[in-house]
Amino acid sequence: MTPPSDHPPDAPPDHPPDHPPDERHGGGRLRELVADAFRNLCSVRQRSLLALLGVVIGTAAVIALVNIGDNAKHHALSQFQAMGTDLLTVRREFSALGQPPAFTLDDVAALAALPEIDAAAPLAVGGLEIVRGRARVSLGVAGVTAEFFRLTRLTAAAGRVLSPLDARQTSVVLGSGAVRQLAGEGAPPAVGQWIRLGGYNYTIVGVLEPTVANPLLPIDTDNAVFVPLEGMRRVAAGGDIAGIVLRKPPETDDRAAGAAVAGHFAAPPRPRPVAVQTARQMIAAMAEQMEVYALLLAAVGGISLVVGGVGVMNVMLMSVVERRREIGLRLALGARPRDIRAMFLIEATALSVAGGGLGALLGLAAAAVYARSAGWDFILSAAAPPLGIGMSLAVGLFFGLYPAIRASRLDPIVALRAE
Amino acid sequence: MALLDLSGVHKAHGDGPNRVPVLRDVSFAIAPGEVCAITGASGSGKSTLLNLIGLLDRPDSGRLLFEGEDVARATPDRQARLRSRRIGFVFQSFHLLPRLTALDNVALPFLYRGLSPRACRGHAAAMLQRVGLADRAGHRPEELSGGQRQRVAIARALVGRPALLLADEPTGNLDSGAARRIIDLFFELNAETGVAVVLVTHDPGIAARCPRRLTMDDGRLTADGRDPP
Repeated sequence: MTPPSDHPPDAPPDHPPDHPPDERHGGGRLRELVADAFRNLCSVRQRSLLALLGVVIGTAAVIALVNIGDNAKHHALSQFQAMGTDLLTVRREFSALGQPPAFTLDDVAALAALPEIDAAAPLAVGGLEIVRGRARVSLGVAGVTAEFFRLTRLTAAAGRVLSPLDARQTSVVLGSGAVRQLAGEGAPPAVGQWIRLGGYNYTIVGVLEPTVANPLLPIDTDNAVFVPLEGMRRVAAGGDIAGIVLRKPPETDDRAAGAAVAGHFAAPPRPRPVAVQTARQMIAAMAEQMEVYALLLAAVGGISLVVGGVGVMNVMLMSVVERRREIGLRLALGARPRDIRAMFLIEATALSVAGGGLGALLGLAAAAVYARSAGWDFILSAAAPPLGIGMSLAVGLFFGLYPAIRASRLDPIVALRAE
Repeated sequence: MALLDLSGVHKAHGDGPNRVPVLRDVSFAIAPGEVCAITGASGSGKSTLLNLIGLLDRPDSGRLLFEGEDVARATPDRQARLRSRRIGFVFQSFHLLPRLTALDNVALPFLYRGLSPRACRGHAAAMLQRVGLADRAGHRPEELSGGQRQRVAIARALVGRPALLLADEPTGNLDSGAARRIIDLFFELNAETGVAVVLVTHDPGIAARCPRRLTMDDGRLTADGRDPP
């Protein structure tokens, strides 16, 4: 007896070689396996499409949400970019006990003198309906001093910002968004013209550069008109100082600065309840919010992907049942159980990745539409495309594994006899 | 050395009290290049025997040597490797993949030798030509007649140059004319390539054309008739 051999010496000379040189690395073979998987999926097109839908929606949800979250973060950071992170604000804390006392210009001067504070500017806010030609718009009105513009780094695109000399004048500076709204369908208001505010003609002395609303300030600086604090009573009810905007030196810790400001209002002669907010606090709070939001998105996306994955599993299980004869034949032709398993895994993954690719595109489109409607810049999140492909790949492998294992465990004799 | 050597092979189906013996103490050998028919009534164990020979199943006891190698205890991967390289199957219901053309069906076995079927289309085309279907290479199985489908299946079984061709009722779904031409093809290919052919059949006419006939009855080999050379 001779030892077992795959190639007995009497094998015909034209026996196909085991490894033709061009196919030695199996690259062509994998390509064919994948192509075959797509052909198989196309033969049950309707069912594949339905399963695809689940993965498409799941991936689209995750990608859209990740990208929207990224854009939101970018937008939040841009809010602080212009004015810096050294800003603080003090606002009145409304207490249950009687009328909350207002801030005074003495407070502003006292705060500006603190070593932890560089500059302080009072801010009064109100709202006003302004009629100009046929346009009738509601805008925020801010009563400010010249210091306010220096402190918040708001600069004029045309004309100038308010100066101390404007204190007793009917001068107004317009935010760029306010100019757009006041223009309506006609010509925009220009420097040197006047607009009517609360029964007075105010002369436009300047228009601001476009800005992004800073969440620390009680007013959207882009869509506001700025009048001298001293004349605020003329145009808006109340006209009290609603808050004080402060800037700390960069080297001072924001908690120390906040504590110094709070200390001023806690000390005699007039202890008052106030709320001090720093830019860093606000950024931290926003980051926390974003984290909750991201977690929520992950949950939504995860659930949709599980639903999509179950769809993939369903298609593959039905496919295994329907193709028992084919599986039996392939086993008879010499396929090892692992070849059958690989075949069905490739098919499940092809299905899922096709859905993932479509879903990623759809999700990015949705994120772009969302960003546009929210007025943000759309930025393609670097994590989104690999995340989409990776997730759908994982879903395909995970939910395809069970059907693939079932297929590979079929008894070839039973499978060949199946109807 | 015998191509195939069975001695004292037993096989039963089912479990516990439902266990039914299907093969009892079957012993025989097949030489390389031999053509042999297995006949017998339904349920006599013919198909089970063919599955054992084809390494799709394992005997419960007894020895099964394939080219001298004891394959009764071989790993599933080893069995798969021998099936892909040394054995070809032909079935009663053809078992062609409906999505693939005749040419791609014939090239399919190369996939399980670790080769690209596309790269081996030349071999497949030559084999299709040999079975007389060169002009049908691009057709799908549904566009072919029963006899043509079985020719494609035979081409697929032989494209890898196996040592043993197993056919389970290969003419069961064909009319008598097509059946005769399929059997003729088996003999021609046996003569050309030296492949041993074992075919299970009900048809006494076909069995009579084979130089050797094994008869099964209730799981036992009851007759082993040979024509004089």
